[in-house]
Amino acid sequence: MAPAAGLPDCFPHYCQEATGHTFTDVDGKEWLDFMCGFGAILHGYSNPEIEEAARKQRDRGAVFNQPSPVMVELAEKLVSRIEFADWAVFAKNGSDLTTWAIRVARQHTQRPLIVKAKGAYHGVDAWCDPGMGGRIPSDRQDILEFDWNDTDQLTSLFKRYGDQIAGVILTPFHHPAFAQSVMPLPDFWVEVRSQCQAYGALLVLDDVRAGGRLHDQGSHEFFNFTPDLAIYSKALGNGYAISACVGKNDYKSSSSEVFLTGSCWNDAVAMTAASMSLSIAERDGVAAQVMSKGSYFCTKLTETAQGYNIPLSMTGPPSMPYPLIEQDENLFKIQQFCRFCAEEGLYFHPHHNWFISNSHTTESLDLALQKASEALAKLSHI
Amino acid sequence: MNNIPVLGQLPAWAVARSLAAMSNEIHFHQPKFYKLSARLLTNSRISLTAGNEIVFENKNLLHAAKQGFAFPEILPLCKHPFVSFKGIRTLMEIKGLYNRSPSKQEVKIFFQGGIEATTCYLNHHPPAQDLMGDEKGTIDCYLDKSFFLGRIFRSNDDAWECTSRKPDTEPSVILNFKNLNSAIRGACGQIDPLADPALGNINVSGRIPLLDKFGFVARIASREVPSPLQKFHAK
Repeated sequence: MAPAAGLPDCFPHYCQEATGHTFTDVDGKEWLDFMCGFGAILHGYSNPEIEEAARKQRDRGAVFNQPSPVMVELAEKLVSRIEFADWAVFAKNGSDLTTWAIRVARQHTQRPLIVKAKGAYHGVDAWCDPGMGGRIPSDRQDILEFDWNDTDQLTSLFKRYGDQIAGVILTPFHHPAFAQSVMPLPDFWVEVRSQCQAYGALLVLDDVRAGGRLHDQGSHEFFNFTPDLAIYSKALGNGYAISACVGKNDYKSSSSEVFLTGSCWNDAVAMTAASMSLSIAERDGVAAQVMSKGSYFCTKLTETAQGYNIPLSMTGPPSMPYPLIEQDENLFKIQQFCRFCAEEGLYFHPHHNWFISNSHTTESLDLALQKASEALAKLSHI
Repeated sequence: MNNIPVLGQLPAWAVARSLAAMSNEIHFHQPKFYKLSARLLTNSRISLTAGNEIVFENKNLLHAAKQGFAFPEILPLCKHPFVSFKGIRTLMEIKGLYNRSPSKQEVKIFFQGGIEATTCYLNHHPPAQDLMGDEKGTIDCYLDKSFFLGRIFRSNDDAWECTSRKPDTEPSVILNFKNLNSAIRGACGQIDPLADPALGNINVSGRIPLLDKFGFVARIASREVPSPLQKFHAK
């Protein structure tokens, strides 16, 4: 099931409109939102500055035979902000470029194998999707997996297959669905970087979900390591379909050999939105803001839960926390909590990261905490 | 011969196990009906009784499941007319269920047949076995929140099994059908995992990925194993 599916019928299934940190479903119910389009919204829904810039570009046209100057502007913006980046390419979704990036790694190394963490989500393509249908055994025969944070396992894979491994693709921290988020151990990224270096494999950072929420210049800055390629989407366009892959100069020539295009790949409206989104993020220090707002919210929420003797913890970075109740391995309690919250018009997801946007205000967070407190009170009586 | 079917036999074996599970549930409430039991025989045949009195070729069993009737082998039938008669009476009772609007209890009989067919696939269909891996959880199914339809679980010897009796232990995931119609669709593997939860026809709580996997295998089984219920549902 996709994360938006499988939720009980008290959750909304179709959205009519959204502004800032609220949305209205097709039944006219207003929701205080903590999913932000499953991460695609960083500056709030229908952000006025982004919408105005997008509208101006839309008046001039969106998709042409050739890219528009805004593509160059956006590429330059990314390359100037992301320290290791020397070039950028664009597509529409995260999956487009996670798959493309591992092909760049294969082209560069002329090796077949890709290493990923077990349970990690890198998109909808057959080499990595979490679904079950439409696959054949060969889809994953060149994918190796290790347990997140277990660098001994990674080392073993490199020792055994080192001369066949093209690259390692990882998210900046482990954020699987249906399980708590796990931050990297202190030496994790040092060890991963070192193994890739030693064996000549590329380190590919899938920053699709977390990009812009941990650090304005990419999540690798937050964890202090340098990837070879990094992919961004979700927050990049603040709701407009765009993804970007940036890379070091060493891989530019290999990347040129790997075919990349799409029906609307040079969409100037989405690129304009992304460019404005990046400008706002830099101007307002948005990553730090959402981390700070998330810290406030997560701390207050866990304290409130403690008041009801409910051992709720918020795992992962506070700007995109994953909720966990102790002794709730089958998730019945967290689902019930989110159901009670839904009755209050509060959109928390029981088994996916939540997202804080920069349009959340202290007042809206306090209102959410008040509604969550009522839900926790109900939960404590079960 | 052991009761491990080769892949080509799996649909017929699932039909036989399904019939046995349904008869078991009927017998529990009406002991006058004989309990069937599935046994693999040589030469692509399956017996529906412990003493091999009612024996079908695989293809005939599939035909029976699809069309509602097929001839069993005559010789064993004639050798043991009394047991054969009792077994056929149970089969006729099962067939009769498809010709009337079912009660809750009768839906439970269908449901037992459906989940038994799926557990055959969980145990013997290689892609399904790969998919389930080392999953250990239990799935409880209800109708209208309170009427217990069945539990699917992994036994100590690693085989997937189902039961119609409600155990005391907590399940890993609960699947609730809103009404008889959605439960019948569940019994024949025709639940839409995207639309039905959103429409409120089913409600799922607990470890959803386990149910996702089970549902995926149930849909494989429903495509391969004929059932009069599919025709019944199409009405």
